[in-house]
Amino acid sequence: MKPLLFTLMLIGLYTQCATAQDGLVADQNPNYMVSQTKYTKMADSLTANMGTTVHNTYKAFDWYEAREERRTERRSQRNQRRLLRAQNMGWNGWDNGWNNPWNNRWNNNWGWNNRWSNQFWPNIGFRTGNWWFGW
Amino acid sequence: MLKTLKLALAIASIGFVTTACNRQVTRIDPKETIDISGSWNNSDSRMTAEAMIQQCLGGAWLQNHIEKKGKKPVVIVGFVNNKSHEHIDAETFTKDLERSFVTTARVGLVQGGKKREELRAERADQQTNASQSTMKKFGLETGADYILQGTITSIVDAFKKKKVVEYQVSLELTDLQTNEVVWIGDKKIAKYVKN
Repeated sequence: MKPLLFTLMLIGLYTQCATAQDGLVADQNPNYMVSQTKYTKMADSLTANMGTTVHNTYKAFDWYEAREERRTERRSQRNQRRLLRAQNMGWNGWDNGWNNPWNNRWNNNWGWNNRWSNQFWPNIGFRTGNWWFGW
Repeated sequence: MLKTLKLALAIASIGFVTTACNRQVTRIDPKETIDISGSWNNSDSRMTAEAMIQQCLGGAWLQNHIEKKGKKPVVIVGFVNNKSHEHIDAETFTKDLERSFVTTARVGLVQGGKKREELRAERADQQTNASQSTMKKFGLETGADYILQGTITSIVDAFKKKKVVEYQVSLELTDLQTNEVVWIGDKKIAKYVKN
């Protein structure tokens, strides 16, 4: 009887110690598991940037950089215009202009295959040869 | 006469080409302050590190922790948010701060981020490949008491060829248990740039 009682007491003491660790510490919120479960799932993604610098930079105005950017933009637009001019020499996309040597786009100033009917060719100005400036 | 002129011109052009292509590199002391573009540079990083080390190790939080807990605090480094207008890597000055923690032995430091993942991966590898007496166990890492996080911001005032740039670097230590911010360190650097 006595050994049985002693064994039961030991079992009771053990279970008491085991459950004591699962209890709340002083002043702990009883709903802590809600937060713990939520953040355990997100932990890996949230700690991915640990020890690093996260860059959320903005663009500040710098007079020289703005000027260089304007110049680069102007140059690239000029290049684009030249490319479009070269690609749009005639109205026919399949016409390479070489088929008829007497009537190709480099010799023919009549009809549509000329610079005056092409929107990408400038028509007024010294470089175009139009000295009348549209007058 | 013409031959002499041609020879002289050739020598002059060779001399011009060699001197024009000649690049000079001079080694300087890292502590020397040289400002070239007006952007964030090594001197700014060095000044920030020195200020942060002085403020952090001299703060009241350290003594308070030792009195309360009876042992030195353990810190883990979190992320620094760069909200300025330039690319600034905070590791250039946070690493100096971490080094001061370790060399003075007044603050403990634990590894975080990708390096911690690598440590855990190596530990996992040891479970299967290392000898029983040498393999390291899981579940025995030191938990940090505080996390170090920071922000870098800037204010730019520019008009035509002049500008004034002010950088503000703030680092803070937060108690991981209570979310209490126990220390905030900051360093302001202002520059006047004239083109």
